[in-house]
Amino acid sequence: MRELRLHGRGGQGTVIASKLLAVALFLEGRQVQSFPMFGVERRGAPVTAFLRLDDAPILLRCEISAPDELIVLDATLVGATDVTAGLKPGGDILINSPLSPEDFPLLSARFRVSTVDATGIAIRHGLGSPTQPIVNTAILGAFSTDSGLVRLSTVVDAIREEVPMQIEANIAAATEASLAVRRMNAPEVARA
Amino acid sequence: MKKVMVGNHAVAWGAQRARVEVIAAYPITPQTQIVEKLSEMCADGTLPARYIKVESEHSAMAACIGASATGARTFTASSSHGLVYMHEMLHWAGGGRLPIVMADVNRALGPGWNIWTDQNDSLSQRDTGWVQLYCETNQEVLDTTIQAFRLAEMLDLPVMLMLDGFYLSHTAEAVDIPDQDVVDEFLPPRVSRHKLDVNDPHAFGALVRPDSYMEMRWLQQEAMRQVPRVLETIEADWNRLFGRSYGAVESYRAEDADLLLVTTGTVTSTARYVVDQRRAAGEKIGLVKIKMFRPFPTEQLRMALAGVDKVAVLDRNISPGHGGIFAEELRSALYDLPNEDRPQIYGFVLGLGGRDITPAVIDEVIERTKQGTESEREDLWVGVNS
Amino acid sequence: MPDILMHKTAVRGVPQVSVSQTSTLVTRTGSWKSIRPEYHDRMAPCNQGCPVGIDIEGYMNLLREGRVEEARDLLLAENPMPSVTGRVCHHPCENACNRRFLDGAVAIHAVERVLGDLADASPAAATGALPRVERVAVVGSGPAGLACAYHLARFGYRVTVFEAALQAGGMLRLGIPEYRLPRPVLDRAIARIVAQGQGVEIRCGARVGSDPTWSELTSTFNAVCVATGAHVSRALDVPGEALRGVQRGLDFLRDVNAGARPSLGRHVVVVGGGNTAMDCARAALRLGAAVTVAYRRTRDEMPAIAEEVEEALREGATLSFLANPVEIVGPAGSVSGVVCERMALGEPDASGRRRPVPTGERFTIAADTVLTAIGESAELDGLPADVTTSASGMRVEALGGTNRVALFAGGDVTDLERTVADALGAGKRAAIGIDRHLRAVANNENEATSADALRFGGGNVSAAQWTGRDPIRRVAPVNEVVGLDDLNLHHFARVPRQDDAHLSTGAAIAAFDEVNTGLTKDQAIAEANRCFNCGVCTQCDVCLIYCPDAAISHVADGEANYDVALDYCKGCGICVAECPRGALTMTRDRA
Ligand SMILES: Cc1cc2nc3c(=O)[nH]c(=O)nc-3n(C[C@H](O)[C@H](O)[C@H](O)COP(=O)(O)OP(=O)(O)OC[C@H]3O[C@@H](n4cnc5c(N)ncnc54)[C@H](O)[C@@H]3O)c2cc1C
Ligand code: SF4
Ligand code: SF4
Ligand code: SF4
Repeated sequence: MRELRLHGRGGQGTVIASKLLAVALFLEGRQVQSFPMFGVERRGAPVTAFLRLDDAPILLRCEISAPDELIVLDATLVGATDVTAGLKPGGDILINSPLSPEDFPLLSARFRVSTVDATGIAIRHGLGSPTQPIVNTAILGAFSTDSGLVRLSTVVDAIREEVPMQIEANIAAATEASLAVRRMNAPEVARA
Repeated sequence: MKKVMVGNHAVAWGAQRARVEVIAAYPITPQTQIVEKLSEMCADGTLPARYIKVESEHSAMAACIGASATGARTFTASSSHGLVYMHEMLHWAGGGRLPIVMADVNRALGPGWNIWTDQNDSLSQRDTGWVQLYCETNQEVLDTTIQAFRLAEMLDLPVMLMLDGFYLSHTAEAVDIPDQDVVDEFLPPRVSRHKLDVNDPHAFGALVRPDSYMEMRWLQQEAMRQVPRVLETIEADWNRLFGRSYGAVESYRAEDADLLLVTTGTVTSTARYVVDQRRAAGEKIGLVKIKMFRPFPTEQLRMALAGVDKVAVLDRNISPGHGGIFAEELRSALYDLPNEDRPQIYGFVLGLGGRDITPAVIDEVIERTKQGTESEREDLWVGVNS
Repeated sequence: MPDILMHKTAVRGVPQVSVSQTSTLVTRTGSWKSIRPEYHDRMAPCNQGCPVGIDIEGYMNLLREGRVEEARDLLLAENPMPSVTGRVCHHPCENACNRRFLDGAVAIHAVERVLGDLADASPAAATGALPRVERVAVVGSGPAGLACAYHLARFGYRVTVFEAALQAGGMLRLGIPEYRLPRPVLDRAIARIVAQGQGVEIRCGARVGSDPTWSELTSTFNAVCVATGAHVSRALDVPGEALRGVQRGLDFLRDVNAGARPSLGRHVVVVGGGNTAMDCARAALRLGAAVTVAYRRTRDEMPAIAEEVEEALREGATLSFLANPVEIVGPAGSVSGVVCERMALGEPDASGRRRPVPTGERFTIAADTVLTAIGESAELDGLPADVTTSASGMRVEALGGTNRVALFAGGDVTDLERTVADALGAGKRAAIGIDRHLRAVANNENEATSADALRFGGGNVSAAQWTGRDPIRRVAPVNEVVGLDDLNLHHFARVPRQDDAHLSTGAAIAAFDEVNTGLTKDQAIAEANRCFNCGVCTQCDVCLIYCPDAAISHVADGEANYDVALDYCKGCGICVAECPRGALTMTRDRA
């Protein structure tokens, strides 16, 4: 079983990203469970969502405190909040940022960091507004190549199934992002 | 058709497949998505039902009562303070023998204001004459919603089904939406015995004197007595059509166990995980899930628990001044077992107001039960350092 | 489903739910009662209060339903000139209106005015009466005479009106100024009256008494109605009344109404507190004068219409109360001031108003012109010989009859109330009296017998009921007035009364244009919607809804709107208590 945590800000589509990813994984025949941080929804507050996946039925029905990997939809959250809390040593972090993984030295020392400019891609494809781009589909495209956990084609299928509008633009963004991931040059950190 | 969906949407799809005719509901966190989805379905024609907008839960239930009395298949959903606000009307539905089905998203009661899960909202409606069914997965939620109508309409009893706030209501997982034609085979249109009909006027809910009131209550109790048997046939039918069944009481890896956990709702899943681990380590530990709380499945529980040494009940609820409610009811259910068969019952109170119940918490329950003594078995709190 | 009856649904005959086994029809709750409700239309207080005898409630009901033309016709059945009364009537109907207890009386006069203007704009409706051969003379073309002629014409008679003045209208033309009653309005109303029935002939410039004489008249016509009004201004009877600049108010108004614009000087003092005084004051203001009204009592005792007093004040008149003129002074033969004695209020007098008593204190009000308006009296000398009179006018019985056969009278010339509405009511009564008399003569009937058929509609008689040709309605309201206690105000939402639109004060006193511009038709319908319909069933269904035994049901057609199933009505009286408008009463059960 793998456990993921997604971090974003209100309006970026974080909860939908976890749902989309769950649908994509489900389409690949995996068992999935996705949920938002349980709580009161406050507009504009940082948003956290979770995802479990497994090949066997998922029995755990509790919150995720020690995820295997992170998806960070807004790089400004790094530093502003403790995004890596509970992340297993050597765990994967995918950050939406135009910078390279080495630009996050504190993280790359302990985890395997990748980046993708999902914001730039989303804006190019007209997703959301330039001030409030919706980056969830782009980052999932990047996640597919970066993690190898899910195929881009099933992410695309999930978008077709779940996204109510701008389907083609979202697919194009996911596809472009899948080719734009920047990984760490340093040798792999030891996985726990 | 399988879809990844949250528990709240599983409720809505269940109601849709059951072809409900009238819905009157008022939104409340964490139930709101049910109301939203249903009103969406009513608006876009997916569900050709009459959606009655109301100004409160009390009115919602009142509207449901009126609708159900006319013979319509009637559905509502609520949670927490909304449900508690309905209390008076719940008695009217129960005593009026109206087969209304309601989904309650279990949520704690304030104050302190709390939107997270526990079972005090529904358990405090214990004596209103409603059947109560607690669900563990989103699939079970959807299936139970449909089954509830058949049960309700066969026995003229209202049915409340429960799903844990957030742990099910807001958690997305794969759910099979059964085909409509098969559901139609399972659940025929409602046939009502007493019908509010303007063309055949009768007085409903009118004065009943001491010479008849008890008979009505006796009949209500008689119908409640039938529930376990009827539910069994319903589940058998469901299993035949869809290959799934749950049971009013389910034993999991309970064979030859000397310690059994008793759980309800989503805690059951996490407990299964712990049981699997313990079994792998060679421990004789299993669990018994209680799905049905009203009527209380005394017979099934006696069968499931007789002869076990120790039973640990996980109560995500509290009856202040007494203890965990399932534990107390279980105690009285097992009291009449012969001495040698009667297990020691450890009542744990945990997870109130949405406090997370992790495998570690369940491990603590198991350890404390194992070490437990004869004198300290009731009202054991987990996670409170007093 | 086979297993649907697998559980017991009854034990010892008790069903699982508390539902009656049979329909409620087996429970004959009707046997419990000793009293039962009865639909019973009653008199609305506005109807009772209107001196013309208009079915106000009735036309409000029609108007509420949007039946504007029927509402107009119901109004015209009783009132020959609603466009006039809607403007100048002192509307006692509104003082009586039950809605005043909630949020202000229905603006009846304003609704009446809208319907009146509508009526004047369209040709007269036929009444369907058979033409009659008898001819009737009416003397005087004020509201009393015109009303008498109008109704007689509608009853089928040929009527000739003799008018001494050069134009018809009486005080409406001679006394009431244009800014309250524009002359085109009056002209249209008279034109419509003239077109009734076989037609009404008005002969102006014909003073009865000289040409023709009374005896010529009584011998030529089958009946005569005297409606000559009260045109003699009472004298002040103080020293100085003959000074230049002292004038009778009525003469002044007559000149102004004929188009004269006399110069009055800077200061005008008007003596009196009635409508004539207020009209003198407001007309003088329009001629540029500064006006003081000297009145010997206080505002509460003023006989003028309250709105007129308010308007006069708004337009800038000064009211000097408890001021009793005792002498008019002036050097060189022209007036320069009015010496007044300060009065105080003492014990109530015969009219119920507190009597002014002198205090001895004197003061002088400067005046270039003094207009006296302390009342008018009828000219009894010019009347036909040997009619019975009192000090204030002719004596008439209920239907206008005098001590002389075939001679009737009405209006200011009699000793009754002196208002336009009273005159219209009196004219109608005289018309009915004449009709009754002429029919009795023609059929050799006893007058008293046919008088029994007459039903009084509260404050007055109903022409519609007299002719039996009530254009719209049902049985006449009986003579019981619906009071506040009979209503259930909980059924009415609060809706504020709509006020007439008015010219700004500056525009008002600059000319003689109409000041009060009334309500629009939509506003009038909105006012009709405010009407409670006191005492008359509007089929609102409240009784039907509230009856706990569902004993009340609709009747498809027939006299009544609802049927009460006496087998089930238990006489609880809830329907009566709930009826918003007191159209139901409890009565002893017949059984
Ligand atoms: C200045 C003024 C303002 C008033 N304002 C109001 C008001 O606002 N509201 C209200 O309700 N009342 C008002 N009144 C009172 C109202 O005008 C009268 O009560 C009403 O006009 C009486 O009607 P009538 O038909 O009896 O007499 P009149 O209207 O006086 O008509 C009598 C007619 O008979 C004619 N006549 C008299 N003798 C003869 C004869 N021998 N032969 C032929 N014709 C004759 C006269 O020329 C006159 O035209 C006012 C009165 C005055 C003077
Ligand atoms: S005539 Fe006068 S009293 Fe009669 S309804 Fe009209 S305004 Fe009212
Ligand atoms: S409410 Fe209507 S019926 Fe009643 S008194 Fe007023 S105007 Fe007349
Ligand atoms: S409310 Fe019904 S039962 Fe009562 S008096 Fe009226 S008609 Fe009769």
